[in-house]
Amino acid sequence: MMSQVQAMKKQVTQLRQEASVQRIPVSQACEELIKHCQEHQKTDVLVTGISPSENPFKENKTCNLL
Amino acid sequence: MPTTWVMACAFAPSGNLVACGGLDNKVTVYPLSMEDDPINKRKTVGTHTSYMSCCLFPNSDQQILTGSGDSTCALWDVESGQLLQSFHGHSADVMSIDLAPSETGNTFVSGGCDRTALIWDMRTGQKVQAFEGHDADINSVKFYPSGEAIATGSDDATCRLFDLRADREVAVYTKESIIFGVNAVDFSVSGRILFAGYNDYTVNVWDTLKCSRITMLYGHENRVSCLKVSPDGTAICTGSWDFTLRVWA
Repeated sequence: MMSQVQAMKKQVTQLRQEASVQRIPVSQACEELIKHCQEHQKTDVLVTGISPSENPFKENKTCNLL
Repeated sequence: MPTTWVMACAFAPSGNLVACGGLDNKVTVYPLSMEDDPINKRKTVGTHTSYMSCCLFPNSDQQILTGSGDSTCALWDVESGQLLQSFHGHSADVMSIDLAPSETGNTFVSGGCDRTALIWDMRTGQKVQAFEGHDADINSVKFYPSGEAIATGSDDATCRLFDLRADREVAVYTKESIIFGVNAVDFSVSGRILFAGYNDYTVNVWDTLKCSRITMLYGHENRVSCLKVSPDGTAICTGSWDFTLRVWA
């Protein structure tokens, strides 16, 4: 019985802690996520693509002399 | 390991050690060297009471963080094998863990078969936040590059984005045509793209912000079990039950 009461007490303290967490509104959170994406987008090759001069796997053009 | 299934492996930050484990319930560390066979110098660092599903080195070579089928996560000291901290809170197997990307790196996320993703403080062992919303086992969790959100992939065929500061789900990545579970998720370097590997042998590439699918990657002949974006962000690698690893660039 005592251990059940203790387990419940622990759960209540945990829930109280979780309930008192500072939350920001979703609109603000999303704005910050969007901002982060946009700031780093330029360095993200998978988003902006790679220029043919840097691409080691680009298709090779056939030699025009032959 | 000659006779048991390996379910997880990780490189130490220095690149000199590899940790792995699985159905043997243990996490074993192998020092990599050119002269000796690593098997001779291997060291069992920790033991769970059920299979080990995931492991990683948080910040240094000296500690290992593991997640297990016994529903706990544990932080071990590599040298002494001592259990430094254990994390109780999941009510079912832990399937995946990821470290927060900050320099101090004191928090991590775990996802489990109890359909919740939990955020933990590594120093105190306390559960800091809990996220519900999935309808089935969470197979993979990943921090957003800024550390302010997490993505989860689940057997319910959806990926979800949970914001840590808003403390709730902010996006779901799903389509009616997608009915197979997600096994692995990873973000591109900026976080704009979310890659997810599915049991229907494909990888779906999602636009994180628009919640729409950008494209699909076909090629594997069996389910995609794991996926990772390269550190420089130019390619992704996928591993599958078809015995192959493929690099997509």
